[in-house]
Amino acid sequence: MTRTIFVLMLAAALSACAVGPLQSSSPTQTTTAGATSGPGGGGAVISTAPSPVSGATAALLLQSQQERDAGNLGGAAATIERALSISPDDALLWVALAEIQMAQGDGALAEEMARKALTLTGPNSATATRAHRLIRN
Amino acid sequence: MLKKTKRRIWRYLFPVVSVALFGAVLYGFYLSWRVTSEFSDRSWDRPAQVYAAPVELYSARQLSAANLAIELVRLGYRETNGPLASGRFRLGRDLIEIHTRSFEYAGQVTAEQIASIRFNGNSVSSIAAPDGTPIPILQLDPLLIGSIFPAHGEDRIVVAPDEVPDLLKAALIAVEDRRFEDHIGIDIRAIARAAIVNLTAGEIQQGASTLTQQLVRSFYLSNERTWRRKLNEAFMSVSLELRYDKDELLQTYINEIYLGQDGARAVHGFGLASRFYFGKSLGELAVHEIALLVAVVRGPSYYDPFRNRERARERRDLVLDLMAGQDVITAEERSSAKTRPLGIVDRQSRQSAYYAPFLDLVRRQLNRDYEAADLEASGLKIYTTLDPATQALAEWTLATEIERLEANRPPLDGAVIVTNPHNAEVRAIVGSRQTGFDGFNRALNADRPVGSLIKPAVYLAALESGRHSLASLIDDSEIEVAMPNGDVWSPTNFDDESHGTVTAIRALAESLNQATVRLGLDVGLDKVIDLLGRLGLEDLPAEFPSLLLGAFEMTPLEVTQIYNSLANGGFRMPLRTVRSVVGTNGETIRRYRIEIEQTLDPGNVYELNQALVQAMRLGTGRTASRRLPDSLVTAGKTGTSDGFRDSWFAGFSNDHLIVAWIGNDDNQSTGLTGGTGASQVFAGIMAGLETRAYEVPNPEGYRASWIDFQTGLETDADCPQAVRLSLEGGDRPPKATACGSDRASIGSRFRTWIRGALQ
Repeated sequence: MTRTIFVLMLAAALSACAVGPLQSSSPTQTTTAGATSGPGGGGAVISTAPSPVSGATAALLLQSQQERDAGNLGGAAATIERALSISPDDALLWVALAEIQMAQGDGALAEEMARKALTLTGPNSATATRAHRLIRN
Repeated sequence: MLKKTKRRIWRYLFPVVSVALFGAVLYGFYLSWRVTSEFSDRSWDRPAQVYAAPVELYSARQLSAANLAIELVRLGYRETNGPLASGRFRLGRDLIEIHTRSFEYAGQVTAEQIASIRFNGNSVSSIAAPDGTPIPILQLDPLLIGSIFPAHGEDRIVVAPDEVPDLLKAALIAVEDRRFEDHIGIDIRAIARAAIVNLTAGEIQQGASTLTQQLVRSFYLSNERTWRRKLNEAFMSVSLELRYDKDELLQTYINEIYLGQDGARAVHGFGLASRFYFGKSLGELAVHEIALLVAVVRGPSYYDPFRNRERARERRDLVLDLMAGQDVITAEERSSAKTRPLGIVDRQSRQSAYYAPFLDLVRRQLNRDYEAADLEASGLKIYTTLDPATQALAEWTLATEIERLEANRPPLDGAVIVTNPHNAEVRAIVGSRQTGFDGFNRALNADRPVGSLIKPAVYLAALESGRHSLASLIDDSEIEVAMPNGDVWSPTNFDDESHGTVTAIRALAESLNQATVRLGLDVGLDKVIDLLGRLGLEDLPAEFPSLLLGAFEMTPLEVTQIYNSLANGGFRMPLRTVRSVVGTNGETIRRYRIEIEQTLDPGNVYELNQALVQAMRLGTGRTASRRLPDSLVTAGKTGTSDGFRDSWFAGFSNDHLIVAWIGNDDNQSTGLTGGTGASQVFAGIMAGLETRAYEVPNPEGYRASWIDFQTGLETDADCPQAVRLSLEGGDRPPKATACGSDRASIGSRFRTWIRGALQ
């Protein structure tokens, strides 16, 4: 029982930090990045909806973290890849995957993934900070 | 005297008899060796089973209840109004209640569960367990899309012993071979009975084949009814019975026996036949359906339920009588089964049953990593990236568009590949307009000139040179290029007109040849080729100026690889079809992780893609965009080869890259451009996908401004020719004084012309 409560709290905490950076980076996307021109030359730019699957993504991030804690890095990476297959442009997922590659000792691949994450998020987001940290190492 | 003669005769006869006997024994060994090795080939090869990507359900997914119901039926789930059981679902208004099956995916076992999925029109609003606990993500059992036998080169749905319903085994024995459990491969009593009939008739009328004999016959694909054949067959059957037990024999029979014909493809085995006739797995068949399959065994062509409905039905009912007579089913089951229709699928809806073109690529990718023997020996499970819904949509769209385009043209064919550009997973492959037919897989093997599909590489090389931006002005006047052999190459624009000085963004969006060749020569052919390599092209073209207009061949698969790098913002990722390979005991043998390498500057790719967005808005992809909602921004490029032999289109949204090709195998002119042909296939598929607009955040150091599409001058957002363009800090367009561009007239003339040409 206590264990269930703990897991639920962990889930809540993790999904909060999982979703947090995403949401904070979204406004950056819409404002600075009127981005690739919208459909009508003069029309408003349509913003990417804040990741529409944050519930599912958060659950998978939590699962991946648990697998990582249990020493199952391969499983943790597979779980993030599963999340990426439903939310492929989520910078946070790319950073999480990069961190797992780093833990597995593949710094080169981790760096490429971190660079990919940087193209998907505003330069000042928390996710970008994590990505920059990976690239520096 | 008599004794002496006898001895003499014996002396002559002995060698003859011994040689004959020796020969017979050798022949016997030979037959026995032949049939047992054939048998072991077939029964011990446990094929690798290949699965599609599982359906994932989560709230906010853009999926309606009706579309989920279609997915569920594809997975063999059945709609019910009564109580739920594993494998069934109830469809309500904006609600699906489902009892999932338990399954294993990539080595992990998921238990069956009951869930209520609520919808808000076209999206999932919540998923919850019966006690109300929210389920953040619900994965369904993956669709089995085929089995790979590298040794035989066929895809077959082979069923394991525990997947075979007991009722099927009992029915086969009751109908085909009552004494199966007792005989030694041949049934003497039945032969005696048949022999009397045949001798009185003076010809072979009645057979008495045991299941074992039928199996032997199916190994050698002959139905010849000669005495010699019969003897060999009988001998081989007995040999098999001596080597193998009854269960092994029956299991191989169930996977081997011929049960129908699908075009050029023979349907072998009850697993595949069940998919072929009923569109579901063997385990899900009801009594009347099992009876129909058993009925078909006797003559798949004569009792073909698609062509000879009545005959098949009579035979099915006879089978039901025999089953009831042998107490395999009860009298009530018999009478209720007899009232049921045949239950076979509509031939049209059988379309995407085989996934052969996708399996081709799976096989190719696995063969890079495994010896063929490893793949066949151990009963692997292969988890792939295929999305059955996308596959069905792509097949349907290609077939329908080709049919429409073909109205007054020579016969056309085509190919489509769909990927998720961010993780390079291949979601669908269509190798021909005719699906379900194992023919030439154009998606992988048609090597065709790519035409203007190549142009983005030219412009990207120009951006990399640092001397050009999309706002640069390029001379689009006539051009003559001196070739090394002394010839002069003078490419012209599609409309045979020159457009003066144009912006790079317009030259690419409108696919102007003269401007592109001039730009490419300025940048250098070697630079363009080098760039193609970094985009992921392995077989690079030779250094001829005509490469700038795509006068060299690529397969749709190669085109997909290079456009995936563009759609993915400059990151090269090898296209993936396999996620993981799992062994018999659930252990992961190999996980194919995401491989990614940044081979291009994301800023340059970002800048380039803006031109591909304008191509969809104002350029050669306009007719395709008209079929898409305004909010669905896409980027894309047309390609047309010389003489209209090939019509290409490559385009992407945020979540999908689609490459489509239309042409004919014998290189006849199609009369289609990329814009009138393949782009329509692109639009049809894109419109049906769950996908989001192509949109990428501004890279650091890029600033957006409004420029005049014709002049490249900075202008106001509300000017008619204004396009929004983000350029690297240093590249600023000169400021225009007023809205009106003096070249608007040329632009509108061009546009009027193109509209005419596309109609």
